[in-house]
Amino acid sequence: MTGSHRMILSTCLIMAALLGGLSPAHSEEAEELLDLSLNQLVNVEVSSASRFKQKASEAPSAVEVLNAEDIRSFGWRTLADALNAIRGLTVRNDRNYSYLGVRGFSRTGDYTSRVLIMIDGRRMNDAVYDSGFLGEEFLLDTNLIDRIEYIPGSGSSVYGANALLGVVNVITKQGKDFNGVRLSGEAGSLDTYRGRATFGKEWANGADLLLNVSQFFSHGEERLYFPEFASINGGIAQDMDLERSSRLFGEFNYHDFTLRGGYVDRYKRVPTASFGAIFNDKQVYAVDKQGYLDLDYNTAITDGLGLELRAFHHWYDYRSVQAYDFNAPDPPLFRVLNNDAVNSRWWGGEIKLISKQFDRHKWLAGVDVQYDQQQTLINNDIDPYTLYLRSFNEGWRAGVYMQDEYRISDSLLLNVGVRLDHHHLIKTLQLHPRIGLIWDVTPALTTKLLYGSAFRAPNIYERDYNIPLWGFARNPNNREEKVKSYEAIAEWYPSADVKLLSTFYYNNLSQLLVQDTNSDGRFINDGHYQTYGFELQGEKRWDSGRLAKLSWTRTYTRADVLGVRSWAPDSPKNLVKLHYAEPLFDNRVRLGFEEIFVDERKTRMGNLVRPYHLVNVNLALTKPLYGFQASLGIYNVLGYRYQFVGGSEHVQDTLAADGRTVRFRLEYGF
Amino acid sequence: MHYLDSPIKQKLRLLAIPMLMLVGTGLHTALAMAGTSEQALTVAFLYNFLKFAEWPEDPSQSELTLCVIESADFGNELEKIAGRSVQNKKVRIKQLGLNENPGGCQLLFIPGEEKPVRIREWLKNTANTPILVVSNMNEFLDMGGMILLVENDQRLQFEVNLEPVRRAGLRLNSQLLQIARSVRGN
Repeated sequence: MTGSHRMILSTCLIMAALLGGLSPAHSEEAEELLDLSLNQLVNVEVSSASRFKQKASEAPSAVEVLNAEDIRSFGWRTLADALNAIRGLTVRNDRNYSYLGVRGFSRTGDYTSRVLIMIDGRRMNDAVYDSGFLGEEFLLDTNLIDRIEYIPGSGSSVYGANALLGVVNVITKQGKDFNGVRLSGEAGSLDTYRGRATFGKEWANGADLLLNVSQFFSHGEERLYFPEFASINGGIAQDMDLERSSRLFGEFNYHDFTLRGGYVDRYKRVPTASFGAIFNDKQVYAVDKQGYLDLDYNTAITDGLGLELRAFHHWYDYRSVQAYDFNAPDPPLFRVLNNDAVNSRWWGGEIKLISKQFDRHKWLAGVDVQYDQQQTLINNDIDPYTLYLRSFNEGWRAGVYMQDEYRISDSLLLNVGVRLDHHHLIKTLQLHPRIGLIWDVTPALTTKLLYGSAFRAPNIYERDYNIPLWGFARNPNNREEKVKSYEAIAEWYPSADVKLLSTFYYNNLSQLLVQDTNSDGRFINDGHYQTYGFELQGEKRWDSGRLAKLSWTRTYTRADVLGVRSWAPDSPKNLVKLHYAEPLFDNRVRLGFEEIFVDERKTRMGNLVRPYHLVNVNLALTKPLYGFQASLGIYNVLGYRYQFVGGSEHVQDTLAADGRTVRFRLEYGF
Repeated sequence: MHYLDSPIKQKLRLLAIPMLMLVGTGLHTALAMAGTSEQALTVAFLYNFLKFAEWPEDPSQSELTLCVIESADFGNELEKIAGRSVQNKKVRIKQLGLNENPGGCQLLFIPGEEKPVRIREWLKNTANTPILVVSNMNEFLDMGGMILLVENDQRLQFEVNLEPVRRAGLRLNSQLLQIARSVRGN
């Protein structure tokens, strides 16, 4: 038994012991409350957690929210599936990881480091590559997601580094949302299976527990054809697409305390022979393991002043093994196994004050500290053993921030935030503001003007990865990446349940870290991207549960990298997304239809990739029948194997997506 | 897995067990009513307001409709009083979107996070109609609202403005007025 499994087991045992000691409550808290007289009600103490509940966003923006019902309606399997449904976002998959593109900005070869991914307000980007994980390597199963908030624009004024293009905050459910045990099994095309067990309960005294374990396996495409490798096995990568993941998540709420913890262990075989691997060799895979613990305490100092204390610990280990030809490009083949690994730990805390003491000012202020205790990079050949890289690092990050929402008049709101950051991987302090002016022109029409700046420090990989033999060199003089973002938004509610939105935006990204392929392969601050465009979105939610939503993003991104100016690679000029959900048979069944159009994109080599329509259809039983709930999803109904743009680590200029796949899910609750 | 043996991990593990045991024993003894969520408590107040208000006689009505401006926070909590019986009438919950007609409501609750311009719009649309309008937005009574739910010393209390209540043709039980923290327009 490995250490991680031992940890999972001991956690389960502790939880089971705890459960054994509890007697289930017969009457719910709410029922008892309703039996109290007015005289008694005025003496009931209010929990502070509920009084200082954070709103959808700390910063003013055109926030987009997806909820658990949307996830069920459209059958999204991963966070990547859900984000792909959001206006302006694109998800690229290279059969190793999924990557997020925002409003036409996508840099192949990095790992979603310019979007901050959070779970319940806690930063999840790792402390080595800054990666934001989205697919099976993400910590949460989709059944645990209560809602997903996407906050476009720069968010460094509250959240610090990495919030260059936007923030994604995934809010988890609580035990009371399940109130029992759920067992779920999934089977789908390409030999894909998932099993999951969830326990959730809320007790009369307010204690709430949620536990979730799941196991995922996908054999993937048995034969993947890559014409670039036609000389090896006819270009067929056989049995090379396998993916496995195990997850554990727990959340315990008691009064003002919340303890959360999650763990994910994912294995992916990589069929694309990226980074110079031998094609069609099963010893080419990546393993990502990450876990975290987050203890959160909310209290009220006075009626109008709330205090939030947070402590966290994260760990992330990555290991990639790959077979490569030591003699390449010359014969004969000399197969050597290489190991590329990362070990990292970080922990820290946050203190936040939230005030609603004043009628016209709502302010918050906080201090956020993180110690990157271990950031280790290792690269070696396994047999014969040769060490190429062993780099250790540690250091502190700290940020101080404050934000005030000032209601100038009934219809005018000014939101100003600023944050000062120290980051051990850069030499200068970072000061980033955000200003928003919100004007309610009429009760049904709101306009917003926003400006903000944000930064991203070079990650340890961009600074210290040093293997001259393969064209990587360290560069301790790297500076931070910067963005300035401007946005004008109009939101109009012409009638009940209808929301129309239009937004114009301009993002100016400078000093972007790019690999200098003209010299020794070090990362330098030589990228400059400008994206501008507009988005239109219309949405109607009927009382019956029907939903219709249509969005269009028109965008242009100009890249200026290493002296070459051009339309940026992997930047579709048009994105159209249609979502339609219809309740059927007296709301017993829900039909979800999703169509995503992605316009043509330029590849790294300057070729054009054809535009595509991705159509997904999902049917879900919404009310349990004898305790059973089921859903059937058909993904990529048209079966067109659309192409993703390849990165610099690929020989392939484009990579084909999966064709039509089907997934059936059955859940039993008691 | 060398990280399992890292000192921090060990400490966390050692801490976790007594902490969870402590919580476990605490669960039995904790006061049932301590730490109630503001949302649940607000709904309990609204339920009581339905009991202590009188609407102009309409014998055809067998229901009391409690309307709420669409809100994820209160929506679920309110479902808990749907179907209960008050003054021999069944409580019905209705979510109202912007611009929707509040005509069929007996009580309208406007969550405090609603924008001031919209709160004014709702007050305009319900003026002089027999709808009891309640909110937890601090300036609500100054804007012409009837009942304000307000936090005081970690408790929830309420204030009443009788003038709009009278103009709407509603009557509030004197018991309710006695418990109110303050009553205007006497």
